[in-house]
Amino acid sequence: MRKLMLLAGAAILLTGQAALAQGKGQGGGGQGAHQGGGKGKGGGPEARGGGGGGGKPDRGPKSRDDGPRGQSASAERGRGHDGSRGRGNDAVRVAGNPGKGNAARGKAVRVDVDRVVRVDRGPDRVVLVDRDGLRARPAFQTGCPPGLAKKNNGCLPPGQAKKIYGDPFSSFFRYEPWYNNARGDDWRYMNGYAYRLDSGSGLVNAFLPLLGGALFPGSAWPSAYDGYRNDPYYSRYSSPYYDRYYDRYYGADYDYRYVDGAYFAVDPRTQRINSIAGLMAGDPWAVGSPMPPGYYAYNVPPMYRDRYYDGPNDWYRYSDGYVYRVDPTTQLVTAIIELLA
Amino acid sequence: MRRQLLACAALASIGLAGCGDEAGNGQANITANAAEADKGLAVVEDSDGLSTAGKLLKEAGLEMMLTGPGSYTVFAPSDDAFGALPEDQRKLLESEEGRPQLLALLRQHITAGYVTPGDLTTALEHARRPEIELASLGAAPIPVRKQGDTVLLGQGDTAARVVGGAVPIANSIVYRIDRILPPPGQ
Repeated sequence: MRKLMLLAGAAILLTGQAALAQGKGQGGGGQGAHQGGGKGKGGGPEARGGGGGGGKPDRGPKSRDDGPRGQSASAERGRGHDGSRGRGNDAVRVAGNPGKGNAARGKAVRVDVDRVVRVDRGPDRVVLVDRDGLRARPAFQTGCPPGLAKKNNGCLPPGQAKKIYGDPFSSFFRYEPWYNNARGDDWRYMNGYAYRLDSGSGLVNAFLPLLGGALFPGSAWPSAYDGYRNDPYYSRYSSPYYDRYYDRYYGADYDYRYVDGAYFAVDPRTQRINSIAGLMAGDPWAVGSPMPPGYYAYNVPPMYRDRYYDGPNDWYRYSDGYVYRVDPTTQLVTAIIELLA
Repeated sequence: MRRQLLACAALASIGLAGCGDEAGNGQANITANAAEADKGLAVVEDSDGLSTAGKLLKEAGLEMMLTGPGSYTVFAPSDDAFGALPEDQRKLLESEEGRPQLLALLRQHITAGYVTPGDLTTALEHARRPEIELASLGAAPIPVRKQGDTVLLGQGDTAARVVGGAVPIANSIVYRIDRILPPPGQ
């Protein structure tokens, strides 16, 4: 089984790289008839007078003037168009839409399900992120945080806790809507935690370890808090991919754990947070879905710019350790690409 | 290996050949730039007008992140911008107690990926609207627009201006802006 998976991985790797190589500088090419019945693009191609056959039109020669096409200049900075120069050793795995229909990429891109963190299969679609498409939400904890005594159905709040609402920086908090008064909640903070007080009893009925407070290098990893397992993004980011992603750079000395939009390097012996390995944008990317807002500008890291550059057929955007291929015409995500050695 | 990758990033970010370059001098460039890459946030701290931002990014525990595999664009308020804060707010951001606030503020100033000045200009030129957004790591996206040759972040009179050149650091890039971005929704 393991061998099978490895073989499959190799095939995917080859497919992905071949696809990428063929996808550059060919002006789109025709559509394979066998691919024309793939996932439709919501009428977009037809509306633009593209090719028939129910497939995607030849996008190559048909230029649009509403995209950051100048970014293809990155391909002109002495880089070849085969996209492989100097990067031959990178293992780039592509999760794509097999029914999309784009002969310019050769065979349909296969889906490396072993690598995709979470897969929800529709008729012709692979989704990496949660279907609700929401950004990370606070993982409220129940019970008493360290240092607070339990009483009845809550905990005694710390006497000196300050109100979050009205704090000069409260609006910067990622979960500001949960902290403000609009919901009628009384949120306080102290000692690295945010506390929600019950309006009747005045006891703490939920709390949240704050990034920079209880979630900070030197602090114990809050493994006892069940609320994290209810975070829809917990499973997305607590994945082998991110372990490998960070191991590659920082070594295998740490466990890498995600919570509330941040990735932490945790010492496996002491269970203490060693460092903040990364902060996550947490935007909903999924093959077949629209590119999330906020990614109109090209933003691929330098070391991948010679491979993933914008052209008339494809855009590439980076987020949270992945590169995403986007159809410039429809702005739909067409592939999810892992960046691993 | 990590050192080389960082050096590649540094070289690429300033438009030099090097990584994958088969010319004999490529390795010399990598070696020379590896030292720069390993300076971490000191590169930011040593940059003109960014000593406060560099120090606060370090105190916020973001050095590993900004010198690691992830890629970020940081819009760092200048020393003058932090200096313009009321003293109690400045002290709060510098204190251990205020570190959650500091991180909340900083992540609103950081966007996903590596956006060069050219990328910003190109995107703004091709957008069919006067403003685009950059996905932030904070509570809300960052609106970006241009006024003449000046890139503005935020809206209205509270917008911050990008001033000076960008500072590459590993896979990330740091811009200097002349004021702290307004809180989302304001």
